[in-house]
Amino acid sequence: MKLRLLAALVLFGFLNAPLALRAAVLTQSNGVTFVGQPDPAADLVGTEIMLRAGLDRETPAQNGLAALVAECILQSPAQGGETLLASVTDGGGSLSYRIEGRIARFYLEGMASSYGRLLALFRSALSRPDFSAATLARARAAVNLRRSDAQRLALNVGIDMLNRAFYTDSDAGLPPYGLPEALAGFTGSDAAAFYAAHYRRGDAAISVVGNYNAADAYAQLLDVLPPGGSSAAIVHQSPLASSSRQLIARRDVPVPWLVAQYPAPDLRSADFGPMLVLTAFMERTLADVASVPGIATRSSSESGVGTLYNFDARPANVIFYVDGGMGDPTRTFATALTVVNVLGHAKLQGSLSDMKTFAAGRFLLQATTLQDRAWLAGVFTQERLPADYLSAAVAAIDRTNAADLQRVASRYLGAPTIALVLPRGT
Amino acid sequence: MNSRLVLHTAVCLGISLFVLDDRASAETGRFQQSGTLPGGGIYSIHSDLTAPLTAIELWFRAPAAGYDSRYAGISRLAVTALAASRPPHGTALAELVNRFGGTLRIQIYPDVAMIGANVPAQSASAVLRALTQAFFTPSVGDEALKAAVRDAAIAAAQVQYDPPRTLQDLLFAQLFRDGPAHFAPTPAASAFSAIPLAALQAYAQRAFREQNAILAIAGKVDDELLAGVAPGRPGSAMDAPIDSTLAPQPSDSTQSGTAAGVGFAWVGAPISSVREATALDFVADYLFDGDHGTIATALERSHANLFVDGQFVTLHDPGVLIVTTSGADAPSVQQAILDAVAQMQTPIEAGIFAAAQRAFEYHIVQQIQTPAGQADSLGWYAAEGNAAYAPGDASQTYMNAAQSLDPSFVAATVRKYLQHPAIVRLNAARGSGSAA
Repeated sequence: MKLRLLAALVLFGFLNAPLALRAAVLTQSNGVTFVGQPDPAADLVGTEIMLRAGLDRETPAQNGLAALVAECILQSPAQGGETLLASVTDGGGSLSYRIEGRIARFYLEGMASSYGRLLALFRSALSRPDFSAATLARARAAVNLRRSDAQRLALNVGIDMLNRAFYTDSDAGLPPYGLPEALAGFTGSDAAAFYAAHYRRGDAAISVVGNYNAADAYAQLLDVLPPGGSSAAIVHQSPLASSSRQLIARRDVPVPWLVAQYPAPDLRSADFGPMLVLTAFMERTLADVASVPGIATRSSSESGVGTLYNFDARPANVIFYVDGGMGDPTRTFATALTVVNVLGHAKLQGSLSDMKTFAAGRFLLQATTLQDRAWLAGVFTQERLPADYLSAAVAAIDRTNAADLQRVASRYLGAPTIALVLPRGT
Repeated sequence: MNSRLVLHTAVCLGISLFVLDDRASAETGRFQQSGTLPGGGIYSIHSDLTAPLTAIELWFRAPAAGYDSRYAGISRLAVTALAASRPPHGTALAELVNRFGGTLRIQIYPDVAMIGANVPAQSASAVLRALTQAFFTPSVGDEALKAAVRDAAIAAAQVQYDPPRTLQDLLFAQLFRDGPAHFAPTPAASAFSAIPLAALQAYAQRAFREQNAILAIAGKVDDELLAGVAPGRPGSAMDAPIDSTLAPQPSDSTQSGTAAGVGFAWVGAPISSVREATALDFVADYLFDGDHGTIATALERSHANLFVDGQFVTLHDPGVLIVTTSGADAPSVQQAILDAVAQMQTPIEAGIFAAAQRAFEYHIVQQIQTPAGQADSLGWYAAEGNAAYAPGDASQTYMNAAQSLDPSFVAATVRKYLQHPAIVRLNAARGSGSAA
């Protein structure tokens, strides 16, 4: 094992060369969108299953239930007394899930040679999840562990706080894993009721990448679920009665973090391309202002600054973050904010090709793993956009002009909501 | 891949090539080829036209502390400085990669240095030219050196606050009496500013030459990509893999660091002993992998403040199995780690073994699913002296070895190698260490 430890022309080239070998296959049946990216020479297959069973299906009193139900599916007995998760792992694969604002996402990956068996195990557990006391107890422990792991990261703490304030017309901003006290109170009946109401194939999507065959079998994976969709919980949340747009939390973190959130255009918006350019530009600007060393590329955790454009969220948003590892994060952010204000008030002169080339490269870097590729294809097709997400995103970037940048900076990047995560005792 | 075009390019450039696996071509968009560069050195390409990116990596057999072990950190500093050096009328490699929105990675190991870029396929040719130009005709200026010292110092600070990395360096220093493995590849920040420019230049000239290079490329590869290789200087043939001298016997020590931890290291099989090395990979994966190892996950579940990780490091001779535990609870699990390894001397029950073997094969393939992962694999194994053994190589040497494992062989390999570990205990306090 290995120890682990010419811009304009290039962009033009992106647009005139196919970005992937094959066009994705797109079909729809029984309300399920299926998208496939076949790669017959790959050793692996990855499948992303996207169900409308996310946070906005929870009432505040049910917070954590979406995660608990998803975890119960992983913890359901599958074969030989083993849980589904253990059976998949022992079968040469991996299975994970994420709970997002609208979506519960499952990702199953494995060796092509044995993938059919793994898929059958997953399908079986999905159709008949176990909500017995024993399974519920295992699931509760696993969700609590996920929650405590996530809360160790200041960025997650900040994003959770911001999301709670951002989503005023739905519960999509609830914390993904709830609280241990709430989880302890959920019964098997609660989980079963949530499952029955929201695990439906209407509006669901399946996205497969890699060396798969029998696409029909994948497209019919969710036929075990009832037809139709479900509704989001009805929310009566009053806006925060405060003129302040700053949220503060204290945690066991070594340095303070500043996390800022703005509304942003979604995938279908004409502003999607310009926002991709702006967020890439801001990532570079924040790194420059924070004096992050720039010879070897730092990962986001190493550099301590970055941006996250959540274009799949509804409504979409963009996050900028700065940690205090390189100095006062508020100062870095204030300088970056000045740059944004200038962009919003004056049209950039000269060529944007450098900015666009950088943005296109950054987007492509997010599409390297099977899971990335499956997720992106699923997100694009759920929005009724072309399955060729790479070409679509790069084309959107390329169409961006100076007026677009000014309009988008002015429209979206005005007044952020800011979360400060401070070390205890400060 | 159009074979005629490849041949044409190769003939024009003086590149010899061996197409190892042409199973795909137009059918699957995948192929592998390897050969020698025009001025010496070797290349290995794994093409995957479904990837949107190209990973381009240069690997060199180069001792991290210099050829006379005089300057700790000289390899990191030299690689970083060359990446920052601006050629006459040109753009520095780091700047170019950043402009394309790509990532530039520098990885320094005791015996090997790697610099690699992950870039959109359309910019791969320009980046390959800049990369080979910077490293086949190395020249470091004052400005680049200053930037590199700062960059390397940040890397050093990060290592200091990374207990597994700290333990790994200390374990190698303890296990090996002499040679590059005795020295931390990324030493304390002060070491970098003590390296004179002249010494750096001399090191770069010797280590970074075309003849000593392993060029690993993976992802979307254009037919004409190799035409981007810049010409090098005349020089001697590739250096042999660099080994270090083992200490007479493994020992224990207690050191001070920024966090508590305990590390273990066992001397293992050389890379030439393919089946044994793979068996030790299996053991590390089954017991100690940080994400799914049976012991690692069990201990982490039962201890709130514990992080366990382990891997077998495949080196030319010998390899090393490393296990690190960090966090306040680390001292309390020392015996559990040793017991888990000792238990592996007895063959695992067949059903459990079969499941662990399937999981192991998947983990190996998972690690090479991206262009960067694939290029890392090709480059590392070639640098350590057994290119065909790289996971992902078309010869399937690694996967065949993995599938050939059985409980008895794994147990026998554990009995042969994993008896006497070096142990380092890290106390969460600053101060000097003391050998036990």
